[in-house]
Amino acid sequence: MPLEIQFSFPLVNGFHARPASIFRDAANRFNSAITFRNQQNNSTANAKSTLALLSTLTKHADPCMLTIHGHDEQVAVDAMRQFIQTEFPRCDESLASASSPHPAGSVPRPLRITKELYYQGMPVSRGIVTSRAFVVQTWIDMPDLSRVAKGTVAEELARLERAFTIVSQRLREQLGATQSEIQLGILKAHLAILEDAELKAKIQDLLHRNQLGAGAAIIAAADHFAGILQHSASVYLQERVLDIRDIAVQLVNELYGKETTNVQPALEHDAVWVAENLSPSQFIALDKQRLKGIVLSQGGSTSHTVILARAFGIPCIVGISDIHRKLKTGQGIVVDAERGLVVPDPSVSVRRFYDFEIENEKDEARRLQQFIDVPATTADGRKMEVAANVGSLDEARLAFRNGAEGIGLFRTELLFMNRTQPPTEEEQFAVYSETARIAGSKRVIIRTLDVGGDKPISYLNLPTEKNPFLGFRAIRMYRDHKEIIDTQLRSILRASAFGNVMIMFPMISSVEEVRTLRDWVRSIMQDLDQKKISYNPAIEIGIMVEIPSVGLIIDQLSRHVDFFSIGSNDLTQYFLAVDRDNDRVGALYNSLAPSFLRFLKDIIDQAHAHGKWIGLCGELGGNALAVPLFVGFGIDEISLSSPGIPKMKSAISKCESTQCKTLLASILEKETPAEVEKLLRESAVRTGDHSLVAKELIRTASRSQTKDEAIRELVHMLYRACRTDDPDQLEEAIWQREDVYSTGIGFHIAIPHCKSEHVFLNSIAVLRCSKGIDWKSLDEQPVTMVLLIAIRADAPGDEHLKMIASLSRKLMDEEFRGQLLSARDAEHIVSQLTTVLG
Amino acid sequence: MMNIVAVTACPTGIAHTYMAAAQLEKAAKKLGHTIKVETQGSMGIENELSEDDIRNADVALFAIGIPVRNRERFDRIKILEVTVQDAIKNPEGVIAKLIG
Repeated sequence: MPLEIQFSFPLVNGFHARPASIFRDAANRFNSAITFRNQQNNSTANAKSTLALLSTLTKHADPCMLTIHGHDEQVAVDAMRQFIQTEFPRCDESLASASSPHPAGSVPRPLRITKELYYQGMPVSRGIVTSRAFVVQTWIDMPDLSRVAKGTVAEELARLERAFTIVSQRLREQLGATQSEIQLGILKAHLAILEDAELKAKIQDLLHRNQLGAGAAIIAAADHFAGILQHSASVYLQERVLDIRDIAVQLVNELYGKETTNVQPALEHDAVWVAENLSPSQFIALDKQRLKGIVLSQGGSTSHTVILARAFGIPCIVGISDIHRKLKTGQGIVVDAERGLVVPDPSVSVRRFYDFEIENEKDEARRLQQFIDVPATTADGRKMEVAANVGSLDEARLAFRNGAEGIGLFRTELLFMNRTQPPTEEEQFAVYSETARIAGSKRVIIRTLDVGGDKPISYLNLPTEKNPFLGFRAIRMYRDHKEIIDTQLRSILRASAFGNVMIMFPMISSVEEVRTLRDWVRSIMQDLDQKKISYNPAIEIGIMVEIPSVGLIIDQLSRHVDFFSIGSNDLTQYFLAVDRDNDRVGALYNSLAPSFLRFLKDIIDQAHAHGKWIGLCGELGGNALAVPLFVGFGIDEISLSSPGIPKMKSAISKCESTQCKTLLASILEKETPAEVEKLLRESAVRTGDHSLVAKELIRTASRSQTKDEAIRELVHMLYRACRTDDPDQLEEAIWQREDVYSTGIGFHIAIPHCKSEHVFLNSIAVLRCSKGIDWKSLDEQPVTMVLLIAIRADAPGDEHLKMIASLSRKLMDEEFRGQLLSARDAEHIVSQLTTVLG
Repeated sequence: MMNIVAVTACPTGIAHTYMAAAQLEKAAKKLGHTIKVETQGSMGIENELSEDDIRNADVALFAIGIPVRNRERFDRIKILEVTVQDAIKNPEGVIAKLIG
């Protein structure tokens, strides 16, 4: 009697190459025949074939059934059920792109005003670039094989076999050589397609039945599978066609040489690739130094090419129909992959606009650069360590290049996953000791194995549980797998001889657990002593604070541990009793809940009262908004994923401890997460300067040449100073006022102004321009000084409005104007204005 | 020598209202007139004109970009209306118009 598993398809993007190959791998562990059935469209597939699984066109939430039949069916059904419940739903990476201050679909003002031609598409990899178009008319034509000589069926089969072997070998070599995890995933997916039994069977079948040559059979088979996917309702599946065609072309190239298909065009200069599409292997072959951008008429946000473009940081816009027929090679273009715009032959003002935006981006990158090599320090000189969360040695290397002051969390799970046996002591020792070595004197906190729940590992045979997050996971399964854990502890201890290594235990809920684990460590130390193997006998041992019970016994635990690290994700989830992945209650998950923040403060205060240092290594640590909270808490360390480190250090440098403590006190009195967020957003604590006028809002040598440019420059100054969250909207608000009548008040002065909900802090920003700007002023004189007045929509209190009223009156005073216009530098302008503002 | 009451009011009420008020006060003083200027701006009505102020005045001057609030107060007095811009750019000219 075959066994069955019923389930609803869990992946938002449906079946595509990566999940399908993971599913196949899971099924391949068993001898039983495993059949996948999509009960929505009644398609069935051999679960051990990636292509067959793809061909079921399974979409999110389709009802599905697995049928398992064979001598190991009982084991298989348990394992597959576990796989479908835990590992599989999490195997697809999120495809959301990073947030941008410029929403997709908006059109910047200069482009609207000049009314020049532009094309709109979907931005899928962020960035802005000005370059020349490199237009490719036919990107991946299936070759014309009519003149290729055809051998006997046996000869063609042999050639086919050879081509498969060579392409597969090449993919494997690339797999071994690549440093990029994304490229690795794509190569694996391509290898899975190539080695799919159904693909080869289809080709062989076509070759026999239709008397086709090997090449023609490959193309026909690719068309067959592509045809199925192309008719899928899911855009995502349609995009997988590219992967199949890519493999087919590689095979045909192998059979007949590259001349038969399109020769891969090479970039001779910096250029933007403009074409119908771009296949992943074409992308990999292109010179990334010269590839400045990608504009495609086809394609969605989830193709492998797009994922690669993101990984390489190359701006990419897709879905502009026929764009490859509208542009010419060599034509100057702007690719604005923030908003999704392509502007051919941009006018001077549009070009200046984008130069300004690009320059701002570079400025920001340069500004952050300075934080890489310095320790994180608050405005009042308090140190707060900024460390990195890593999962591998490669990530640790990258982290130190990004300025990590330590490894705050080394997740060791990756070392244990995707294999049939646990890693050996030597394997682990090599990774840990090398990390310790490159860290030098910096801390390397290694967390012992934290699996169960979301991270099943086949050789541990963890039981299927109704509620894995409250079940047999992390240290709770250590006793059953003591050998594995002893091996890990031993390798960490040995690595401690090479640097500042520390041990951290996950999922601790009580003192007994810590006592037991310390005993384990002690007996391994004794063994190492006997064998005269060196380690650091004073190695620090700490625990994760992720189970709420721990929060109430910090005093007791302090007698047994050297440090604490708050795992904010799990702690929030357990504290609020919310499964964040459950659509219905996920919204209740919020690490800024006032109750949670009060809990955190108590934990941190307790740890400090008992002389222990405490860090935070969850997602909350990557939330820039929360930085004043961390400073207010007086937390000792924040650990986050390493690309965010310079920004985090910069944010810390703007915080002042006393201000943050005051802010924290009022935040802890708020009643909802929304109120907390609002207060954090509005608090200018981060800028360190609440005043209406601040030096960072004064620029004395502006190169702006037009009213448009001057307003944009001023708005950007406010954005840089965290005084607005939406520069585009703020600009619009100012122009709305400007359109009523010019704010050029005469006397070479203009005072553009607005009240807007996008202003966090009432502000006056000043620009002194080297060239007079035509502002359509009352006296028709050019403007050399622009004072931008930005007021909050709710304008709390009249104090600032009074100041601005008195400034306005004062501007009518000739002597004051004279002093302002001739002020020596930014400091003098600030002091002039401050005198008036009182 | 005249006794003038004036109201200034601009669309956002942030700046021009107060600039116009300052200009009118300065010009009136220079030309030897007395003036009281009510501002209707972002802080609401300030330096509000009383019934007595208006009854004792020779003429009312509105330097505005939006309708004047409580306009009925001025039902029985001669009103000259100019733009806020006029008042800022040429306050003496505006006051001269009142006399003419």
